[in-house]
Amino acid sequence: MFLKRIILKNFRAFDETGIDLVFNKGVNAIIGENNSGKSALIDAIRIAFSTITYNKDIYFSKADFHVNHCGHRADTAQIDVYLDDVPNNLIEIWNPEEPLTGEFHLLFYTVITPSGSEKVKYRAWGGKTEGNPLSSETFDAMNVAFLGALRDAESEMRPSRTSKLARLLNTITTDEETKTVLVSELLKANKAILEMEPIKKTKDVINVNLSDIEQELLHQQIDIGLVDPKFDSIAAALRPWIVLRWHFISTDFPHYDLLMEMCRSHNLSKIYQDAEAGIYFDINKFLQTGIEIDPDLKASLLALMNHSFELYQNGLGYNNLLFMSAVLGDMSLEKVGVSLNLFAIEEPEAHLHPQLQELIHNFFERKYNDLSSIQVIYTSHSPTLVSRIGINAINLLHEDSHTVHCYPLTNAHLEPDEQDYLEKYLDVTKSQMFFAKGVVFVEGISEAILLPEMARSINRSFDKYAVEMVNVDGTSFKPFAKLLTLPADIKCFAKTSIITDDDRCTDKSHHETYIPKDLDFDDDLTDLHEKLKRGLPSARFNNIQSLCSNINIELCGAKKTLEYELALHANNIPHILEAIANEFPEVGLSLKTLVENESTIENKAIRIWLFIRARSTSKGQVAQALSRVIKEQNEDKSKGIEVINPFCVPTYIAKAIYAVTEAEE
Amino acid sequence: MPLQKRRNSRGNTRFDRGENNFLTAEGKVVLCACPGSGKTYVVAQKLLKHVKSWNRPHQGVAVLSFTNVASDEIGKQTKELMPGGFEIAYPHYIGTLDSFINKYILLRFGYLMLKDPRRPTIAIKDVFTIPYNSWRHECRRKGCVENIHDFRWGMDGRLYHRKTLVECPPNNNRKHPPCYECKQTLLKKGFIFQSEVSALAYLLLIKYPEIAKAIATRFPIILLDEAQDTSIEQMAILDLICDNGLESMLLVGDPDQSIYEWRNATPECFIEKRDHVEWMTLPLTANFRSSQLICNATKAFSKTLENGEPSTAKGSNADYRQKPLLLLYDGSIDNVKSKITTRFLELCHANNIVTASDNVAVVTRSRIHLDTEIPGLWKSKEVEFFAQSAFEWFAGSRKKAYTLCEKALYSICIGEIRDIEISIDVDIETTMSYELWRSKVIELLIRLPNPNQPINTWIATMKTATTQTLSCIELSVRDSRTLDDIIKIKNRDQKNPNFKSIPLLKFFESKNITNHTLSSIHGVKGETYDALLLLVESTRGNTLTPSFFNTGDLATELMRIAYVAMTRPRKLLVVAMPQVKNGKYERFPKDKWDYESL
Repeated sequence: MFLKRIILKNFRAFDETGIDLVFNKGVNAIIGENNSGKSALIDAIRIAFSTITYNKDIYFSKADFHVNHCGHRADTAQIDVYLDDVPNNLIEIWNPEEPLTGEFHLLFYTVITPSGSEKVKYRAWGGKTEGNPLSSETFDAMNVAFLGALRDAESEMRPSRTSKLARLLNTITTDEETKTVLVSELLKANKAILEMEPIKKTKDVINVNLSDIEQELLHQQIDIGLVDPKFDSIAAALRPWIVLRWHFISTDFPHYDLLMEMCRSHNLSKIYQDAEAGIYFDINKFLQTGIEIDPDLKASLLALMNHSFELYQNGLGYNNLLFMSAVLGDMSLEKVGVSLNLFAIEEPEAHLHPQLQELIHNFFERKYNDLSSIQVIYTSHSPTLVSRIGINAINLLHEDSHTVHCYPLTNAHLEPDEQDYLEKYLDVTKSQMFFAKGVVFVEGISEAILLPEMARSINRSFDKYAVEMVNVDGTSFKPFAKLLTLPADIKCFAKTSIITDDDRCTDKSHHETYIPKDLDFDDDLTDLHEKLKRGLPSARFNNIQSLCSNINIELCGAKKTLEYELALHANNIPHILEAIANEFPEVGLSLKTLVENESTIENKAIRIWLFIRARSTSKGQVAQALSRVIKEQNEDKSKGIEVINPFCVPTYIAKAIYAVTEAEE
Repeated sequence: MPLQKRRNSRGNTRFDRGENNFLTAEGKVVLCACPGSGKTYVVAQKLLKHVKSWNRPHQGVAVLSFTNVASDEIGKQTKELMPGGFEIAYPHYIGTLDSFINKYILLRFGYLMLKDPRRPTIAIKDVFTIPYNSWRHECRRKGCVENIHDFRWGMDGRLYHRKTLVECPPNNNRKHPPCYECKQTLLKKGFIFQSEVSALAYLLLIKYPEIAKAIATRFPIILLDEAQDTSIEQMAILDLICDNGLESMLLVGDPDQSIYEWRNATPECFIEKRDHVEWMTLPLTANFRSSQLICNATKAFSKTLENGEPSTAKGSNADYRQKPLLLLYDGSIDNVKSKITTRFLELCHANNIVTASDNVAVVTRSRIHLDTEIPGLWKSKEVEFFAQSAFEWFAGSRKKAYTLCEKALYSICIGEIRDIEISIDVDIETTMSYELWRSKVIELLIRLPNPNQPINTWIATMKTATTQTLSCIELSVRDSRTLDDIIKIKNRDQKNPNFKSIPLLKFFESKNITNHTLSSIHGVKGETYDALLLLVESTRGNTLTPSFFNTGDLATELMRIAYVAMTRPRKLLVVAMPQVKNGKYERFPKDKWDYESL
């Protein structure tokens, strides 16, 4: 069984229209910018699965009702839960019309008690119709665990009757016989400890005093021991600690020479690392090799291994890992009657470095593959996790006109090849776009380098407007455009624009406008200007245009290319020539001469364009140099220094920037 | 019957062969259990056998019966057989067959039959009406309009008026007669009467076999007690569940004890299973209750034992040497009733039988207060609820009293009650918190007049009490009605002109408990007494009469009612009946009965 869909209405940030989230079997991510309702969503899942059960660590409170713009609090809030792969004996939630599905619903409202206070109440029903009973026993089939963002994994792992370790031990130890054996071992240990002189003394001191106080009244005695000899107490006393892998062994360690000799003779170079005045040694590995070890040496090594870390000495990140492995370990053991194991995690990336995040994700996926009843739903800000999880597993939360929407990316209806393409190219950097308010797609390195500075120069800094730029490194905009399009209301989850070249005059079949590929800056320019004027945008550009005309994506095409458009502004030419001269001191000079000799701005631009086209491998460096110039200008401007020959942003680029930030004043 | 007594009568809890066979039998099984065979005890054992070793989560055993009393008894017995704290609970189910069908089929999935998906409402008859305009003159004349609850949907999807197919012609330009259209409107809106629940549930299972499958998975074992009381519709539902993968269906019953035809009990359904080759039939013939002499004497009234031997008495009273007694009287029953009772109690003393209400019973065919049968006594449903509530508050269950009083108050002040399974709390909370409402109901409840007063005085007191309480709890009568219209009874009755001076209590009393129990036969079904007197009050009519006893058909319900009564006592059975002229009592042979005349 797995959670297929949840609908929330009038719950916290979500209004009357509500939010509809779709999940898959296995691992799911909910991503979105801050304050988009991710935590509310996780809480709603927890509330949905715990309201009817006896054990609650979360309650629906008055503060959970949505408050609208006018400050009016909603009268009711509703959570609708849809499940898939539901066994038909869970008859309270099962749906006979689609026998593998099921659903249940919760409606919250308030009443005024006779004493005048306001109290939250709820109605719950299973199946389609209100009124049908829903009992806590049905929820015994659904096991939900939660790891919060501001979590205290340490306290969850600390010894207690409800600790995750106690739970795991309970799951593993199902038969009474094993329990009895454990308890009898503990009794033995208790007995042995009790016979130790100091313990005896401790006990006697207390008993003597007790009888002194009570006189002949009660005749009670105490016994002391390690743990109350009951199975529950054993479970409650379990504590994890971290065993270090590398132990420092100094040169004055009694058996140091013997140890080094053994390592050399058995070729065990991998289990130690040299250090100042000793070695770091992997004792555990060494003991596992099966080599015969001198008993004295073994004892000394084992004594060293006793140095371990208590939980509170661990870093936060590691305690989180411990928690997750205990919970998922418990979930992956089959429990009779449990058909859903849902693990909700807020920001698993908290306190973990990126490589570990990736390992975590892989771990989730493996756990899922091992046993299909485990479903993981996590919220994330981490581009690392997002880039790894696969498009269909992502639910995107985004805010638009003060309303939170949910967009399951599985609704993008990508073709298989498009999906492959995206999953291949959705790296960490590109995944940032899911957390942005605006996205600009560019086709190459030059745009990618120049755009942020150009945006700043027209007072639309990308940082300020939470805009992410995605370099598609080519012209495959289509899958991205599809991914970002909400089919229902033809709108993108974020403001989006595409900057691309229209690549006119590249069609050989149009003789009259075709510009050969082998021309360089010093060739004859006859007809070129005319061709560029009359040339039609390439077929590729037209395709993107028709795609964007249906959806709300601003397509901004360069007449021919970025370089041509840049050079069409007289102000920019000296800066470009300077940037080129940096890279190409000699040939750059001849370009400069030729450009200066041209009379029309178009021909100057053509020469520059042809120059860069023929040396496209150095495009990046030229753009870099140019961006430095713009950056310096921007800094001067911000200091109030007058800028001579200010850089002009080509109109089509300005349009693209305004589209994803804020319109031009 | 308390378990202690049963253990005593059994000596110990050893089982005979029939019981052991039943405990191990699975599949399609019928257990025919004669009176006193300790059927409930065997059912409890069978249930426990499964429950103790049960390891299938979210699946369970359903133990079904026909009355809440019977279900409670099974629950109680399993509890007593197990260590303290034990309770039959989820995933198992103990309850009535009706509530099982309501809960797991009709109320849960009935929305599939409706226009809008919502939970159907099982309407309370007499209360519920729906506006419908196309009635014909003859519909009113025949009383169909007021009694829409007499119409019910059948298993064939057609409409019946009580047991007869409706064949009235439709109005002009219509497909169906008005009653049909009216019922259709009701159904579309989800209003259903209890009498048609089973038929509709059956139709639902036919249309959605997945539901039958789900029930068979959820409850792979179904144990039905008192199976002789199953109706045709109910048996059809059970058959469908059976055909959709049920592992075991165990029917326990006695066709000789089917006395609920008025509730559509059809013992033939049980007999058909008993005689069917696919079903394994096991008999329980040992009687742990009565003496052998009583077993011998009552055999003549059993259809099942017609061509066989009497049951074998095996209990601790098996050898009790008191022959059953036929007490013959002359004249009107009203004159000799007390004389008969006195003689009966004397006999109890002679047999060292302690005269206590749980030990000695006097039973009659009809209700115990004959003069309280006043047709159309209550002028509103609310006043009946109030009266019943007062009866329960003073002489019965306070919980029932609360529910009844709540219903009446709700109906008077808040809105129409439509549902048998009242969900008043949900509607209440749209106007006030339930706690507040509860305090209001209790205010009224504690002011209900004592039901020992004559009914007309009670009504007058009730009216004043209600008026005062309503103003004090800040509620008022809704719509345009007044309390005078609501708290009102019939003014006169031709048959019983003095009914108004009868105490209210007597209108609800089904048992009168003094030093012995006075009850109708239906009221002692399943009970055991040391001594029992069956009072035959008539010589004529379609009821228990001497001639019916002697020559009546064994395969009738009336005979089964007599049989149920005569098989209650352990030691002493007395049948009192009017003398007949020819002096012949064919089914009371002198070797089996003592005779005595008053």
